[in-house]
Amino acid sequence: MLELQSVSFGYGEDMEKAPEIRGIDMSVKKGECVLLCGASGCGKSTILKTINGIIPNLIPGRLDGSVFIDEKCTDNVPMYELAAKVSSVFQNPKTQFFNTDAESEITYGLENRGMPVDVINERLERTVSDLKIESLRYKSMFEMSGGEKQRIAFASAYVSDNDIIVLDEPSANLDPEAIDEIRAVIAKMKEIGKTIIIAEHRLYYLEGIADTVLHISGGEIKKRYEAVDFYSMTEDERKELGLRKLHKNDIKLTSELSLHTEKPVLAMNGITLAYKKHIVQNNLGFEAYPGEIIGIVGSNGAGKTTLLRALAGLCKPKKGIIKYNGKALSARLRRRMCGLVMQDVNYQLFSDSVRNEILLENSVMDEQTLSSILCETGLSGLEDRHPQSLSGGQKQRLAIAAAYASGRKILLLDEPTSGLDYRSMLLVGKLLKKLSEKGVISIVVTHDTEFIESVCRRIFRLEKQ
Amino acid sequence: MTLDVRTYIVMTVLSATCSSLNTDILVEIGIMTAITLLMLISSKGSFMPKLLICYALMLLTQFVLFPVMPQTAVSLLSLPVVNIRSFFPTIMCIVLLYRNTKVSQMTATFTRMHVPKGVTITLAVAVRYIPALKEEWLHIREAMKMRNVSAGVRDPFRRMYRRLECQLVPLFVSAINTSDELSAAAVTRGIDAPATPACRNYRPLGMRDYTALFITAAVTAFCVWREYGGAA
Repeated sequence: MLELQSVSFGYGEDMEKAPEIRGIDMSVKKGECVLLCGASGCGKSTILKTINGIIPNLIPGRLDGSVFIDEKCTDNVPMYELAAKVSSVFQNPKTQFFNTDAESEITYGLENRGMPVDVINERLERTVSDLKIESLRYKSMFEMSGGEKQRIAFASAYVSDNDIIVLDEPSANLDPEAIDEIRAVIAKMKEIGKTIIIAEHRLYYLEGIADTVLHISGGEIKKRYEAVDFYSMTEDERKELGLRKLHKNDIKLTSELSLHTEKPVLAMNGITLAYKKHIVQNNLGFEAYPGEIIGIVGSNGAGKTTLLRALAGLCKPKKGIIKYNGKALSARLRRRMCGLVMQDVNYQLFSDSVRNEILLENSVMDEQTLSSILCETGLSGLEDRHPQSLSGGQKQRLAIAAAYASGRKILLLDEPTSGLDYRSMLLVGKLLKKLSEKGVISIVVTHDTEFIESVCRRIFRLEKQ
Repeated sequence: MTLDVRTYIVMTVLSATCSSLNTDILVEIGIMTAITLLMLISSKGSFMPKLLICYALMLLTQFVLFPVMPQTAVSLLSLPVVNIRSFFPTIMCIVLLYRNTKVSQMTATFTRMHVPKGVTITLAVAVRYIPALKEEWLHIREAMKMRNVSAGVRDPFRRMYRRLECQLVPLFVSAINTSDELSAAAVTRGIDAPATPACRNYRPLGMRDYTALFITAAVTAFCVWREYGGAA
């Protein structure tokens, strides 16, 4: 069905200079599900791009070797012809839709092919029914959650009836419920005989679906596993390979629950939160001790981000009071006291270098303190790099470093590990633990149970009201 | 009730013609009333009370405050209050067009009209990007609020420059990333296929479109007559 023969790709013409992928040989049978795993930047997505034709059609560079689909080399096949054989779903639900309504979005690819309208309508009905998305079909794309948008992206791949489906980290921005939903869709696609190639960090939800697992490292296939062998590897082996957890399990906190010798400093009493006039949480209250790392979990719409925004002073709670050291804090004071690491950290990096980003709010900081912050956050050597040129994990750490450098006592993090690989996740966790030793309170809104287990001392679960 | 994208476009162009020709406040209020009624019977989200309040305040300023205000203040305020206000019907027509037109409908109609594919795709992406842009703008503003980005800058002009830089740099970076990702999603769904795209959402003009076009054309003809014909 699909074959890659000695495929190598590098940006620019010089292949000797660290190509993105090299010598990739893989053969995928019809109806097989192949999982590509490995650290960020290892070349997983690049392999997918050579299959769906984005490389070399959209991304220029030097491509050696050949990709065969149905025994036909794709070298000179135009992009629109490949689009009729390979469907793709990408990781960011926000940037892969064109239409503002779900139905049009699902049928967009078929319309581009110039299919008769009655055939399009017939396929649309079948897709809506097969994927059980009746509740979404008349919804505006802008009113959908990330998970719902991703289900529509899957629906547009499903409706195309292409034999090959390429999925590039489709769970990166999703909560556990949404991941369960897309798991069901992938299982359905496999059931009807589609060939699926999926690159992922989150591996647990593909247990029972993937047939073959390829571990990619440094742009090469390091090892090929049968799924049964892969999912039965030991925890030590998994950690050695730098992979996320392989099995779904309940959260087990491993951080030490030490007895607090100090009094709680942060207190929220009787907080009622509203999102667009709709009450999402009533009479909420908790206390936090110096240096505590607290995880906040709950389903979408339970008010986790609203709670974080209220703590950060970006919105006012409908009722209730927030105190620090017994003193009530106004929204303005909260904004000065809290550092916020947003889910999309790109919005909060303003300077032209890592150094200036850290010094943005504290221009009188001495060189020694700056070096120590850079060292603690693992950003040494990157001082002169532009913040927007850093990797996802480095950007997260820079945003944390900037908040810490400005003397913030409370750090609020919204999904800090979405899309991060195992090692980057551990680095963010390590950094939070270091800040914890210095008395900084961290409140983390996350769906990442692995991250919670590794850093949080307490968890609050918000239920939808 | 929604009208066809072509009807809204013609209404927008003709309302702009009326706005530039008409000087009679009663005619302007009449046009505003008609468009407000259309907004009220259009789809949810078309009616924008804030826009009407703004218009009413401008009218009050012109007819109640201007007569008692010093001449300098009147000169300063006359541009926004009189000139910009006269284009409110056009702004409202654009709101109607934006709120009542699906991207797919627009693409289908333009394809049937043989508008070049490049123009159609550019317009479709622009319309689709407006809400995303608004969302990104708000996120960046919140991040700026949290970071106190102009801390330590005393010169007000440098402060303003700094704030503008902080607002625009992440916005441009985000726009570039979005355009790259949108392009990838588009080409993998056959946007460059040479076949004539199917127009699932194409709808021919109906009676309500012809009625709206007739009324708009009649009002424009009246404005032209008042400006040129009446004086002859």
